[in-house]
Amino acid sequence: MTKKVGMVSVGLTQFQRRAKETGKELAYYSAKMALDEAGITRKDVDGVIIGSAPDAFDGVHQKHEYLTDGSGGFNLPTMRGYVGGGTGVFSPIQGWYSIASGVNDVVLVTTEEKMSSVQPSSQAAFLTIFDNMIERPLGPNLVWIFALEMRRYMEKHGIPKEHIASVSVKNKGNAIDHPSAMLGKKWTLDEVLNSELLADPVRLLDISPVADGAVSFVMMSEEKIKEFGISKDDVAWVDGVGWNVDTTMWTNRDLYYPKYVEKAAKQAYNMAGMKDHSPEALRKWLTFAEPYDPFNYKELHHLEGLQLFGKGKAPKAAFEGVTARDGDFPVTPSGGLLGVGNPIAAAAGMKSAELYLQLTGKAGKRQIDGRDMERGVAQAWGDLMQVGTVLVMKGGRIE
Amino acid sequence: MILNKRNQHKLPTTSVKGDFPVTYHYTAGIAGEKFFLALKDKKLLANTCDSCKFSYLPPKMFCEDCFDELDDGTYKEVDGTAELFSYSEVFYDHRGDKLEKPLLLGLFKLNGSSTIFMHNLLVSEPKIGMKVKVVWSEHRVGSIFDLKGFE
Repeated sequence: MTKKVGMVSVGLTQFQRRAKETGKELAYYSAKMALDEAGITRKDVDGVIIGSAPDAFDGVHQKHEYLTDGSGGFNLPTMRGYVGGGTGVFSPIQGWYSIASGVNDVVLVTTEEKMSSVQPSSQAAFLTIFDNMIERPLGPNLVWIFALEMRRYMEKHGIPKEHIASVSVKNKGNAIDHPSAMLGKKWTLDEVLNSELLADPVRLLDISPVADGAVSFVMMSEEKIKEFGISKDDVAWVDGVGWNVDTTMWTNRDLYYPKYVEKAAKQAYNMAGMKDHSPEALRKWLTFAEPYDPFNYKELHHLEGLQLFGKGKAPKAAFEGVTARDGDFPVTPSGGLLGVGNPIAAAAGMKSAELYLQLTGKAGKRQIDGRDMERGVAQAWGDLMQVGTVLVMKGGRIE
Repeated sequence: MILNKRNQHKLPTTSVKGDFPVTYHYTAGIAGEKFFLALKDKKLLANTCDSCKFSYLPPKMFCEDCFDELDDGTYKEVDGTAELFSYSEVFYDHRGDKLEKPLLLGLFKLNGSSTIFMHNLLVSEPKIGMKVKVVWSEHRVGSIFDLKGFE
């Protein structure tokens, strides 16, 4: 019998190109903000989770140890989980199982990335995640391999680039209303389509910007939430979690469809008691989604993996406005990685935070209106293109 | 046991040279920048948490225990006198090469701070608990080598 677990607050730093703060100082800002928002202190915390992607970004090995003080872990049971870009959704999942298992009652979760330290660019560090002798000598970076995946996806379903580009217009536009955002702007479809070609078919405005930042959460058992007298209006319950890893050789699968996201999503939906995995049923059950969008086509790719749209059906829906913040099924109301920025682990942390903020009605100008905020799903993707992490949360008053 | 059978012989090894092709631009951070810039003026800064009175040298932006933010008002200069907390004479560097001259490394408890600080020990006959004082470099740029060590 697992314990019921709720998220009771979030904290976010500004996402920016080059932060003056050290990584641990960034972690402190978001961790402290989350504690203050929850109305508790570090003395109330009995477990700490740290999420951060490759050590090579910050240039500090054993980053979990380095980040411990800023994340509030001094003299507490503290651990770091790391699944590349999937980390920011996996960290609250770790917070969930720390509490659901009965090990902890009040957990402070922090996701951090300081990508500006690494020179000449983060892609030089990414180069070392490929196989040393088979792929690395060819010099691949993520833009190259995403171009291969994007083309495969477009080719399989006959997707026009306009449909994919519309995701950049939507997300970068949504980010205007996010206080942490670095790239909120209303672009036109033509501007996205005609931005600089980087690796055909990927253009500059198809991609999220590299950033520094940190995002934290406070999570508690239901008993502790009652003990602290926290209103149900300030709680989002963890409803379902899932994660999955596909083959290590990223080339050994058809790139048009993320099977690992499907498996992770179904695990989460089943845990939440949702057995009907048809797109229509899921879009009714969920109020909105925050799928991982480091590139515009990835949001569409992931919506299909999440079973929210049929294979090849997401691009047209996005182009027609179905996924706009005021559309039938809002997707990435936060502004996403494309607009808010992409400090790897913290970027997906921001997506998990958006679930909390939307479900508790605290999203300010980004708040989805005109409907009951019942349930949302956040998803991230990482390692070398083969891990999917999925978190479903529901509003505090939903039983 | 499989373990005993399998681990009897080793295969001849062929290896390929590789590297990790990155360098870094580190920021010293909010507290670190104050500390390093003060070194240029021969000042050693510590800061103290108002809640628990613990003093950090080098200073920190936050108290890791109380989790209070330590603002500008928490900083003060210490006088550079210290007590030797531990030491070692070291003979090899991190590459495994023998040092031309052995180096004396010390841990120092500076007066006015609660923390321990590592630097070079510049005395000929070290003794734990001995009183020492900071020695400044003539050319200071805001680095840890603005201090030569302690004597």
